[in-house]
Amino acid sequence: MTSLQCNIGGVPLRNPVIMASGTYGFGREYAAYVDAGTLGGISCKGLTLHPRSGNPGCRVQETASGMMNSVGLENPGVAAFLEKELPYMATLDTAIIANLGGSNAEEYVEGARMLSVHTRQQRQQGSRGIDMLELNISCPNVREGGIQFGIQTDTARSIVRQVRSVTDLPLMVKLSPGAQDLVEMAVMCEQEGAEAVSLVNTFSAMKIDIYRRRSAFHNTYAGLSGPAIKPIALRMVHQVARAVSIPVIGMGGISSVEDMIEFIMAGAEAVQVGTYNFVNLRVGTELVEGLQMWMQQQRVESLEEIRSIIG
Amino acid sequence: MTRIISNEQIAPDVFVMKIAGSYKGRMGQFYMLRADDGYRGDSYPLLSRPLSIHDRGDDYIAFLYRVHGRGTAILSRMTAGQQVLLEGPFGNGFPVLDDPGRIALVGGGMGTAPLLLAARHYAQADIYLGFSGDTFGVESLRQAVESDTRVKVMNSRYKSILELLEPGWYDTILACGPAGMLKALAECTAAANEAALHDGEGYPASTHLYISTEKHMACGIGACLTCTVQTTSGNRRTCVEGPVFAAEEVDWNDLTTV
Repeated sequence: MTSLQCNIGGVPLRNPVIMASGTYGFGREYAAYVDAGTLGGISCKGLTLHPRSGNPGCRVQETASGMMNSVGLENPGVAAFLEKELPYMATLDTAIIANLGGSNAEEYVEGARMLSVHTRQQRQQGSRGIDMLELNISCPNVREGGIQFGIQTDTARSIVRQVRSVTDLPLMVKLSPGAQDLVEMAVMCEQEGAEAVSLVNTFSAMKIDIYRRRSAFHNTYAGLSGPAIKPIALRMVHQVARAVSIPVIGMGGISSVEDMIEFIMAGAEAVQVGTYNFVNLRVGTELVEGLQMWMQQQRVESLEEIRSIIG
Repeated sequence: MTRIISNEQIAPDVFVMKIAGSYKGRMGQFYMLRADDGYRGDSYPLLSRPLSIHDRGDDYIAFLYRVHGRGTAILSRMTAGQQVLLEGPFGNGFPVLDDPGRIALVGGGMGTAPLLLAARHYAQADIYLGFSGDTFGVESLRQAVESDTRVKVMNSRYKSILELLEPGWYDTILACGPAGMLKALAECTAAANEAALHDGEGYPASTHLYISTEKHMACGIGACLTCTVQTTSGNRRTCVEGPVFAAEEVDWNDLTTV
C-alpha cells in the first residue's frame, strides 16, 4: 500500500501536491475541474492587510516554456478574505494555506495577527480556520509588497521574527529566487522558528515591446514562472534542503509527475504547482493520480524512500 | 474528441477552424484553445488562446481568428484530422434581451468573429462591419439576417465605421472590435444619449451599448487575474464577468492601454 502522506509543521497532508498561491484563487474557480479533496492543499491568492486592485496595463506575456505575470497582488484584503472567501475554502477537504504579503512590517504583523485570531476563534466554536500561514516575502510585482523584504536576510529576519511573535499558526516562508543568499535566507527562517520554507517564487524578468519601445509591463519587470525556471528552481531547492532541517516545499515550473519526483528527490517534503494549473485546469488531480501510479510502478511505498536521496 | 474538420484561410492571416463535436456556448462566449501536439505541453505555447465562438452547430464548433503571434501561427498551420485542446465555454456573452428594440451589431476586423451567433439570435438586427484591408465573414452575416441591405461594410484604412452608423437611432448596440473603435463608438453613443437627438421623431429614449472586450489571459476561468478590466464597480475579470460589458461601466483609459 503506497502512502502519499506528508507533514508540514504538524499539519498532515494527504499528499504532497499543493496548489500554488496566485494560480488557484480561493479554490472556487477550479471546483468544476478538480475535486479539492484529492489535493494536498491550496495556498490562497496572496493576501495583503488592505485590499489591492493590482497593476495597470498588460498583466501577462507568454515566453518560451513560461509566462510572465504582473498582477501585482490584486486581492480583497485580509478582512474580506476572512468574511467571504474562507467560509468557502473551509468546506474544501484539503489543507488551507493563507498566503500573506505586505508593504511594511506593520501590515505583515497585523495581517498575521488577524488570521491567527480568527482561526483561534473558529476553532473554539468547533469550526475551521486556516491550517497554515505562508509568508510571502517574495512577490516581485509590487514595489512595496514583498520582494524588498526577500532580498537581504537581515531585512527578512525582522519580518519573520515579528510575524512569528504574533502567530501560533504553522508558519511557512515563501522565498524569492532573487535573494542575495538563498541558503542563508532559509537558515534564517529556521532560526526564527518558521515551520517550513517554500521556494521559489517567480524570477524577476523582462519583456520589451520593440515597436512601442518600452517594457511590455507597466512595472517594467514581471515575474517569470513555468517550465522555463524548473531546472534553476530544482537546484535552489536542493541547496536549501541540504542546509535546513525544516520541511522545504519545492516549486517552480512543475508540469509533470516526473518533475514532482525530481523535487522530492532533491529534498522537498511537498511541492506546489502554479503555472501549470493554467495550462491544464485538471492538473491537480492528475498529478496526484500520476504520482500514485508512478510509485506503484516503481515499487516505492512511501515518499520517505526517495526524498532527499540526491546528495 | 477535438478533431479539426477544416482550418481554412479566408483572408491574409485570417482563418476559420472548424472542430468536430457537440459544444455548448452562447453568442459572445469564448473557448480557450491550443494545439494538442501529444506532448505534455511544457514548451511554447504554454497557454491556450481565448477565441470567441464564431459558429456552432449540432456536430461542430468554429473559430474565426487572425494570426497575431506564435500561438495563433501554430494554430493556423494545423490541418484536418489533427487535435486541439479546448476548454469552455467561458464568459458572459452578449446579453439575451427579451425586447432589444431596434438593434445594431457592430464589428471591427476580428470583432466580426462573435457577431455571427448574435446575428442568428437577433435576426432583425442591422449590421455594421469595419475592415482596414480585406473583408471576411460578411456573406455568412448576410445569410444570418437574410438581408443584403441591412449589412453595411466600410473597408478603409482611413474611414471609421461611425461614418455609416448613427448610434442614437438604436435602442441596443452590441459591438466587438479594436479598443479604439469601441471607445469612439462609446463616446458617440454617450453623446447621442445626452443630446436632444433622442427627442426626435422615431428615436429611442436612450441607446444601450454593450461591448465585447479583449485582454491577454492565462486561465480563462477567473483564477489568474491577468485579464481584469477596470470598471465603475472595481476590477472585473474579462473571462468571467466579461468579455461583454455595458459601455458606460468600463474605464476606457484602461481598455485602450496595451
